[in-house]
Amino acid sequence: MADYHDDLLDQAEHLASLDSKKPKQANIRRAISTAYYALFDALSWEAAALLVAVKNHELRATMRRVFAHGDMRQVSEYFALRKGFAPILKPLVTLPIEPALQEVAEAFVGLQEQRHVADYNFNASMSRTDARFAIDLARRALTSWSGVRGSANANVFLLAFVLIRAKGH
Amino acid sequence: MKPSKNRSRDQDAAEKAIKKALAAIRKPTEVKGVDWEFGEDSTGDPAVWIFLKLDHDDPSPEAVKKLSDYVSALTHKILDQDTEYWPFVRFKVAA
Repeated sequence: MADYHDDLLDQAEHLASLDSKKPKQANIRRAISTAYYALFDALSWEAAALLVAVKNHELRATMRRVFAHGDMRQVSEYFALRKGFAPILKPLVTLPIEPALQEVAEAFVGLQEQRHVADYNFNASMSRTDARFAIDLARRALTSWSGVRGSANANVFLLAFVLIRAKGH
Repeated sequence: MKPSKNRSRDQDAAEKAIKKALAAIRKPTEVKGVDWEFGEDSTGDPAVWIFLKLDHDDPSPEAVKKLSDYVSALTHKILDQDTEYWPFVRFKVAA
């Protein structure tokens, strides 16, 4: 796995720790957004590595551009709920879904929504705790991922980022 | 989040699920209160935002861990109850 996501998490930590008294909204919001992107980066990199078997960095980097935030969220919702899978995924998943994979999926959904608030909802005031929680959530998801990656369901999870767009899914 | 205009039977069921989850899971001492708001998430699906109230906004790493464990347990418990409203948690600090 590439380690760009670790740099993103370090950057998020740095932003969340700025302004010792009252944190600036800009720093908190960027920290939350960056925590989401750390998980997005790790998962999209893993999916690209699975789909592009040859160890070609450029090909994999190009492949990553295929993954859409909305598709990854839809897939994550299925795996977080462990049911209601789209017909194209149903025959591929093995139930029960591993708790660690469920945690990754849940974290992806939660972080994407937090990122949406952070980037677009300027009526909401976000706290340093929101930022620290988002960073912790991303870190936990990455730890859970390392425990489940390579499993049959984890591979279906990654492939589903593109399969979900198949006609009549 | 867009606020939900009409209160529905689904919302009542979701509220029950939240109350059941809150009663079942012990709150960390850092959490001084809880409230929630129904609405839609960024994709337009039903969502409930659960606000955990804290008395300060400078959590230690241990406190963040406790809060994360709590949020994780709460989210699992609510999702397990088949509510249509996806739970999202945020933190509010008392002024």
